[in-house]
Amino acid sequence: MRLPFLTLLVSAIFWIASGCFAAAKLPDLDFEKVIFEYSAVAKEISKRQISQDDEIKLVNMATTLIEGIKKQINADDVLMQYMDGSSFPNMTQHVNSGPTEKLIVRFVAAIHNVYKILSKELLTAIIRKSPLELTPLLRELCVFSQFVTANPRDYGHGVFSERRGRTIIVFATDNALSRIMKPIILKRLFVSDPDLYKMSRITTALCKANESQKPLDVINLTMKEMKRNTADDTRIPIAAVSLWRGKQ
Amino acid sequence: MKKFLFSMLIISNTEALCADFNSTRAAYRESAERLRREIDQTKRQQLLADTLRYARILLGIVDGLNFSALPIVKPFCELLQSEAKKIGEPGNVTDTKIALRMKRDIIRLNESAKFLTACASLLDALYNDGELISIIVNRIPEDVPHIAMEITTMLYVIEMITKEPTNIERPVNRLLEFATSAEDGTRLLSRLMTCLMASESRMVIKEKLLSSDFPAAHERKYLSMR
Repeated sequence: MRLPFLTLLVSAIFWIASGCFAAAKLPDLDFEKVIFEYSAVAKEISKRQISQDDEIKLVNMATTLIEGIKKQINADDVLMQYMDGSSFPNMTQHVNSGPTEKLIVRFVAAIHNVYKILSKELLTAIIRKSPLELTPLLRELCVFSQFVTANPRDYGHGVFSERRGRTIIVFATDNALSRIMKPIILKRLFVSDPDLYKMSRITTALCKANESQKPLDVINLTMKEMKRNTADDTRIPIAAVSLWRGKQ
Repeated sequence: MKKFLFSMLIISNTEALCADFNSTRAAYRESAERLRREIDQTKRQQLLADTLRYARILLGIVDGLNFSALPIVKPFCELLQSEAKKIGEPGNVTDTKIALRMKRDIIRLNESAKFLTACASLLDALYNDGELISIIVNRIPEDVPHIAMEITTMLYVIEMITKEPTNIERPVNRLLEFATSAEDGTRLLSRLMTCLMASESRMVIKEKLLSSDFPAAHERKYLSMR
């Protein structure tokens, strides 16, 4: 008579304990799943006139992802610089790099700017203009967060980032970009197509902008010129072959 | 009950076909990758034969079959273009919404016609010239799965045309689905298809492939349909 009672008691304890453990350690947000869901909803909505409810739905989905990214980075500020303390990007530090590496420098700097500027208002404005445009941008932001939080031990030796209080300093040297950023780009951005990735239109515009132009002005101008549902070919491409082969 | 069994049969067959395509594509990629790395000449010969065999399956080349896609596609493409002309000039309409819709429909019809003609020319060229497939595998092996998807889409459309030659809605919707099925809603065409869609003459595929300045991967364009 006592055995079933004891079994029941032990399993109840295990059940409560496992519940407490699960609550204490919530799983990280599955970025791939959120992007996939966002893309599916955006595709559906882009076929018709976007309503207020649609907009709220998409903004909420995108905000969830951005908050997940910020939670993963877990810092108030992300600074990017070189080992000598000078700030990123400085193309003279990459004089000996190949065209692909130089492109990656501009790409990282562009997403860093987007990350710094991005707000709920900006997200809403992009969604209002073109819901599908945000899909590649969200993926690029995920790539940036993976780069910032990358553990150098997983990618090889050398200093890569430093945490000072609530600030992360990322040393975006040529070495870090080719050891860490390149494999992340290859793994995370070449999803729909294994050979070619075309940057989002906002990142493209930031990559093409002059140093004197303010990133927010560039984004606003791009948004102004952006047409909903346009498959234009002006986006900057990154070919997988050039990433594999390195310097060209 | 009969209907249910029939639909189950269709679903299971479609899944089997998709699984077959996916496994062949995986086998092709593995074989092409091994071929790229292999140095030994004897092993290379075997790997090249395997890669070519998989490429032929993917591109829909059947031995001994006398097939020509262009004569089937051409009248349909003319129909699409005439329908596009019937829509009229969006510039003459004062209502912006209607003008935009007209512009979108014209682009859809013309782009569909262009894509189908380019795809049909390529498939016919592959059937007529046995050497072409070897050149593609040799020059742009990574493009074969993309070209295969493009040709498969065209074959779906051909099936629709043969059943209902005057129904333009279903084929255009099928092409639109293909064009917008990528994650960000924009389909990147293969290099060969980009080249063929841009070119006026369809008879220069081989020359284009063999030329040293054949477009690099970054010159691929979108199938501009919305």
